Amino acid sequence: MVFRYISRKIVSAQNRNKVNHDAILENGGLAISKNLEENLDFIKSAIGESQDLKIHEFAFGEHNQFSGALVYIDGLVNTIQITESILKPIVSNRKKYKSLEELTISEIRRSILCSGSVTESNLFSQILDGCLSGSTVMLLDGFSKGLIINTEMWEKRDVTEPQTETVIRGPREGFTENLRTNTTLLRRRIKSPKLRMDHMTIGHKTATNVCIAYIEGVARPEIIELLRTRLDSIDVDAVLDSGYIEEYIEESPFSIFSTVGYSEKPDVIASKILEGRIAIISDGSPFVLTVPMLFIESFQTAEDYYVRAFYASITRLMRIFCFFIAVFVVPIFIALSTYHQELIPTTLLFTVATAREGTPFPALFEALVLVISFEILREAGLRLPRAVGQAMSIVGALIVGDAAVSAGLVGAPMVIVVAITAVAGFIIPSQTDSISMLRIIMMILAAFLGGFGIAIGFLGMLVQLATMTSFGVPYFGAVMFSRDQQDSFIRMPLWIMEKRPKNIVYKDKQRKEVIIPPVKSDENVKQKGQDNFDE
Amino acid sequence: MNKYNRRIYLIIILIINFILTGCWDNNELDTISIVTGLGIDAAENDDEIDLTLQVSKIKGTTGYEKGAVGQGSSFFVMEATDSGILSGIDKLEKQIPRSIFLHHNQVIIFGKEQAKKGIKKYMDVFIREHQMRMETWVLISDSTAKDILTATMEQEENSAIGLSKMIYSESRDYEVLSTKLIDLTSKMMEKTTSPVIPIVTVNSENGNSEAEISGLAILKEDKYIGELDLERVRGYSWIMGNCREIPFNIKTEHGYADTSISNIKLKNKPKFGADGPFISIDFKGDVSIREIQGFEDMKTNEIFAILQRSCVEQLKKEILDCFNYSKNLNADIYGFGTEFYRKYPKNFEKLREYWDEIYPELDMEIDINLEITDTGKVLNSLYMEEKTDENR
Repeated sequence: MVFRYISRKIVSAQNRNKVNHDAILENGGLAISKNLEENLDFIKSAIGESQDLKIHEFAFGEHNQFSGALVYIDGLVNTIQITESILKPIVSNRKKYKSLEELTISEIRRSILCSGSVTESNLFSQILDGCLSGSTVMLLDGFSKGLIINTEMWEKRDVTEPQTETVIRGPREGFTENLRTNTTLLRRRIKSPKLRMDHMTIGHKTATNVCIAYIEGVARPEIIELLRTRLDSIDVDAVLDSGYIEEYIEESPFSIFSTVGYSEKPDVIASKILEGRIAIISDGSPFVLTVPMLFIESFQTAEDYYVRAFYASITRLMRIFCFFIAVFVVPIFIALSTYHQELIPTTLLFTVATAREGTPFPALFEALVLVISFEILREAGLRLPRAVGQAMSIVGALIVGDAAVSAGLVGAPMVIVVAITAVAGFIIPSQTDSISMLRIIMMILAAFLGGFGIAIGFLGMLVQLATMTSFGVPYFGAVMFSRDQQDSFIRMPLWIMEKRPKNIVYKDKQRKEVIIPPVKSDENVKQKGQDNFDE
Repeated sequence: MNKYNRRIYLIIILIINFILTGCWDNNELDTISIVTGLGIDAAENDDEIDLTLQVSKIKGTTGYEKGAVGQGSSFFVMEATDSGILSGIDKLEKQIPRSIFLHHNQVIIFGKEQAKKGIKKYMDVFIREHQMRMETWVLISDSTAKDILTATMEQEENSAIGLSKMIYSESRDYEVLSTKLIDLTSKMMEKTTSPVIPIVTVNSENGNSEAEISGLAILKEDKYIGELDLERVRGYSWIMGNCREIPFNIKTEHGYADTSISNIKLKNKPKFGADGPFISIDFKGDVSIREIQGFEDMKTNEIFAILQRSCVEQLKKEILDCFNYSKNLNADIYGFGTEFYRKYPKNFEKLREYWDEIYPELDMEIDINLEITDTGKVLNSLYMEEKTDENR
């Protein structure tokens, strides 16, 4: 059976020890020899006859008696920097070195090179790694050590306004694909010396740089430890986006709800870090992950904190309401029109029945057709170029919908209900996927069991949500009665929220010491203002 | 390995549960016939009834081309003669392709003939059957129930829906003009009270019919014994309370006034006096003047005094008229028996036994207190004297 096969696979994968796949890495364990030619040949054979591998041989010393070579990958390095700070100083150096004994590697490093970050290594593996991640490797004849000089520079995207999570009021910067830019964006927001950025490399082949950012004392050490072990145990050859990492570190891989948060905006990530969460920045992805994630975070947006508390609370309540609309309205409509007609007000019943009359399919099928065709349209609109996408949605929504109703294939009320649901689902972007799936599950339950089915489905959903955890933190966290309520269904004014979320934070709990309401204006100031006004 | 397998089996079992049971009790909307009215008439045979069902005919609209979206406008009527109501419905169900859906039944109408024979034994099904709602209006037809259910009204083609809307709007002014199934059954359970049910009459003129509520039928036990016309209904309504504002017009020797009485506060106290039990009624209300004719060359405060006095007189007259009428019929339509039970629960067992003899002898003491609080936009009329009392 397919299921048995899959489950056997999963278990065996869990039991398997970590194996080293990469032959190159094994070979790379070799030490560098003293012969420059040999070394260069080895590098060539390891990287292959790639066009972008550049080997620049040069001679230096008083009589050009020493020879060396620079190895780098074209396009990853700053060639001006190589010329100015490596080649020029070393070639134009007129100091008299008589023999190799006088000229040591550390001497070169200290007194000749004008480069900031230089490391020594005698292992091929490190040299290859450095070379492939944008450093320039300097090998000298007669030395069994190489210098890895940081000369990274490549084409990268500017910091732009993110396509998702647009705000009307608030910062407009977004993360880019470059890890260093992203960490800079965070550092610029949190200038505390306690902000930690731990680096690690994941992926046998891609060797993607991954950075976990947190504030020491605010983030819980056990969660950091848990995250580290999970990241360390990732056994994969490629990490091309943070989404790859998400799938490996989440706690409920078979749940339809995501337990890892993400955002494209540095201000959002900074605020999550300040709440005690840990950010995972992956090179090559503008989406930064945060753990632990609570369910209520799906309903929070960046703008909630930039506009005044009342409006923010109303919109947040509306988002929660929309979640229910998006999941339950179609199932309820199906249940009412196939099982509980007595619950529909009489006049409405006639309207619905009139529209139902003559449509050939049962209500479930009708709804499924509409919901699935909506998903198809959405997907098509996403994948197509933007200009065509609009035409798509017009054809899909207006023409097909209208034609389906007037041809009598579906009833008009069903179209309205599905359309409302679809729009409501878009209000909560991070739960759109779970909403789509829940909706279909609920629809089937409603069609088979009516209102009873919806109740079962709702309870099942609640049980699932309440039992889930994200990195040991209850997923339903802030929904329970606790101080975290001040930032869950509604958002209290910022000056009331004096503590960080209870379940997440470690020792440094206070955002500030006491609640100080905004100061009322002094009588004198008032009087002065009045005087000015009178004048 | 076991853990995963167990989960997968669980999911499969759950899915099988759904598929094997199928869509239990599933009724698509196009498989039901929505009943809007149910009528019961006396049949030739004494044990049987003529059952009439008004079923709304849902017109299929494919698309937008028809304007009929919004109201299932037409209907058809089905009839059967049977000894029971549900067996009659079963009989009718076989005549149509859809199943009969009674949840949305708006009215239950008894024909006058049947009401005279007694309606009690047919009430059982309305209480017992799940599909019947206790909020359904109960009516008695002046002729037969079928006449009403077959009538087409001007605004609402479907007479049952039209009637239910009409009763709803009437009941805002006179709550006594509406009787729900639950009111009827609870009144029937009080042994001393005589239930009242609105009477509806239909006047057919050139195709369309006008249905109107023409009074209240008085039932003794469960049999029709007489009716209150609309004027007596008002007299009845004063005592029953539950009315927001009752229009009330008075004729005096000086002129005519149209008033309305609102804010009615009513206390009826059952008491035992020297000559047996009597009811003392304390009536308080605010009078607002809506229209005045006549009263020429009179001062405002004089007019008010006259109006107030004549209001009280007329009110008393109306109340007593209705009360005496009910005494003649020996039908306790007010539920005074129940009032006695609430006040004197210990003596009531004796009282109930002889209630039929006591009620026609029951006295009523009325204390009416009316105050003119509102005169509309103006105080004086055009032809009244300008000067008014300082206090007013």
